[in-house]
Amino acid sequence: MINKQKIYLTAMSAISAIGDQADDHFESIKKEKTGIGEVDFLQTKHRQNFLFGEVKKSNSNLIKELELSSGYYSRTSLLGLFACKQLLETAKLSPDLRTGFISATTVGGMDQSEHYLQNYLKGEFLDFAKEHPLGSSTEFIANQLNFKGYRTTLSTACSSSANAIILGSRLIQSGMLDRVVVGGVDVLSAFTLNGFNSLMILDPQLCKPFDAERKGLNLGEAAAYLLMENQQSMEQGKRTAIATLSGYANTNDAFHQTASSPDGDGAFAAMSGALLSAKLNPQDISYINAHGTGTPNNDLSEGIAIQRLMANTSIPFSSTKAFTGHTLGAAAAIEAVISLLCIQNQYLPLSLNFYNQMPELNINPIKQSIETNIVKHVISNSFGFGGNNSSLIFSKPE
Amino acid sequence: MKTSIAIQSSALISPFQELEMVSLTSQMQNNFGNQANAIEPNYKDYIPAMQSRRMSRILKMTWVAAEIALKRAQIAIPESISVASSMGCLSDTIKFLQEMIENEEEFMKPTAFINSTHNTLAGYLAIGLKSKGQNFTFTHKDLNFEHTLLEAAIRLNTNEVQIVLIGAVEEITTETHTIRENLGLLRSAQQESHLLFEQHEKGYIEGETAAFMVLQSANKATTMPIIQWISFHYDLKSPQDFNESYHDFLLANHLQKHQIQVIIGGNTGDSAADKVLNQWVEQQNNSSKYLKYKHISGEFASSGIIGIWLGSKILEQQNVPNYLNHDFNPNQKISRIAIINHNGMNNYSFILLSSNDTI
Repeated sequence: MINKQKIYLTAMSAISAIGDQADDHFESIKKEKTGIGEVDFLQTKHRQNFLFGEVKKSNSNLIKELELSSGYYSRTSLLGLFACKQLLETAKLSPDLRTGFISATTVGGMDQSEHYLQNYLKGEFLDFAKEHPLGSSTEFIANQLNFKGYRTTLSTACSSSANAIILGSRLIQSGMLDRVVVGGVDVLSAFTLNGFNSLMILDPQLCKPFDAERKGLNLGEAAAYLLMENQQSMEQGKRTAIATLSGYANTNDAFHQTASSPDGDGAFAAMSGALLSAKLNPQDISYINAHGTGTPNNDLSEGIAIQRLMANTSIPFSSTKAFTGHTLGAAAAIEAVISLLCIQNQYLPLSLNFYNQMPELNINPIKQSIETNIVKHVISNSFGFGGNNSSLIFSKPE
Repeated sequence: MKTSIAIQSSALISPFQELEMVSLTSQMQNNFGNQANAIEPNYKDYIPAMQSRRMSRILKMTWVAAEIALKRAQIAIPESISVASSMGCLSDTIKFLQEMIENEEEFMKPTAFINSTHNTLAGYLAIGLKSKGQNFTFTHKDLNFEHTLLEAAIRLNTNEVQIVLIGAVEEITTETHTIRENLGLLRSAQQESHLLFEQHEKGYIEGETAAFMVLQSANKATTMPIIQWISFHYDLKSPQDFNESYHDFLLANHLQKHQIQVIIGGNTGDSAADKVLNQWVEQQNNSSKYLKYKHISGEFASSGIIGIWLGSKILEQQNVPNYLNHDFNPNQKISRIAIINHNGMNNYSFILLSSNDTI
């Protein structure tokens, strides 16, 4: 990456099972309070069999809180709008600079289509059909918030919103945009639940990232967005930087559609690539917010990669997915928000539900949260199906 | 944004072009009704039978188009892969969904789920081609290929990457065709596709395609068509709005109207959606020859790649295929083509494609 100008992150918003706004996420993590539990809203036969990170607001409550007229909305559109609206309340954006909007999602309007497919074919509930494409939630949010400029949608499975952040940075670097709202949204659906269940990578109990006894992941839902801008835009808006995006990399494992290479090559390439682009060394890194889904495969592969990266140094790392659940296309955005909260509060969160060291590793994730003053550079990892690996580096502003 | 990107090669599986054909002269006029299905190759010629059995139709289309594009550019392993697929692997998505409904969420097999993810195509290519670089999938509702192209162009411009395999893939399924018909998005099934633009009616022809290109930074030695400009123009509600944007585009590229010999317009065929574009074209007094193509390709969210492909072939072959225009005999060299696209949402992309001697 040619670093022509610094990319500043100046505002953030998030809604997930552990809170309705970004700061709530820090409070829940500090109190070691998970958001994973039984579902109230997701309609599935398996509701008793699994635990989920569900946002405790029904669609009709969201419609009311968002002051929308009654209509046909996917939950994806609603949660996405909830988070974006909040972001723009914190950061007022003047219309004279070029603003973009990049939203990542994997589920789109599936939460409705899975109930109404047969109706669509008969010409019924077509307003839900219009909400089905992934780009529909992006367009809906843009229309509601009067975003008139560049907007697009990315979908690369569980690394989707990390790639939205990478794209945002490139658009600012290239001079196309002055600022861009980047992030992602995904909601619980029976489709994804049954998909992950068929792959046998769900833990019926609370997930245990990086634990020797881990059995799989818990699905969650979330929306999270961040405001990225160049210096001119930040100064004009009289905002201060929470962090800078100092490096990133997206690489491909080229190994298997749904599994990571056991030697951690893909994860290692993403982290090394991000370090290279940030011109940093492993010993400069204060913390790694791992992808850490809790599946046997991911945590082994990522754990080995982190161990390789550390070499002779030691880097604190943890997964925060035992708080939020795995929120798929929104995961990287939620974890970017958590990474920024770590920088803002100089705090390193524990890896919840970790008890036993993995026999394949000689490193352990953070067992007890750490209040500190050394959080300078944070790596955030997000890995997805299709071998899609992204690492982002957020840095404390100088 | 100014760019300098050479289209090293391309290959497409589309409703109007046989995969192995590279000439524009042949007669390929077909009548599709409101559904323009791709002319598929004989996959046996390209994919071993064992492998083929495990691949969905859209995956086969993707694999073969990508493989041919790479072969034409003489590239074995692309450094990076980008795919535009607004709707992703629809057949697998619907298959998994229907199984879930029929089996009441029991005894689900993972194959269709694995293949349903939007980035299955780009991921599959990465595995098959051992391409370990960046691997993005764009899934926006309009101008989806142009978004994909812009991102690749930024990396090529900064030399972050030297070679990118880029493509656009969308498939038609029985179910989504019915749903689009129900939504009133399409022309009637009796539509004669070659008359799409003559009959001013609502609706477009649904299309599908798997198209790939190998892109590389252009330099003095480049002989292939060059993408010199990519921009997006939003919320253009009148021919005046449109004209201002077009004027800005010319100005940014230091060009006069007449220096663009051909404009390739992404008119969808839906008379309401095309209104601004049609009115603007009428005001142009033929300073550039205006060609439309969505009657031969059909319309889809990543259809922009078709316009760019046609533009590159017209520049290379100095010939306009008769299925695009019956009365156009260029009496001067075609050196610059403006490619304008929209997908019916008041948002437009402008791309400048030039022959190598213009740089």
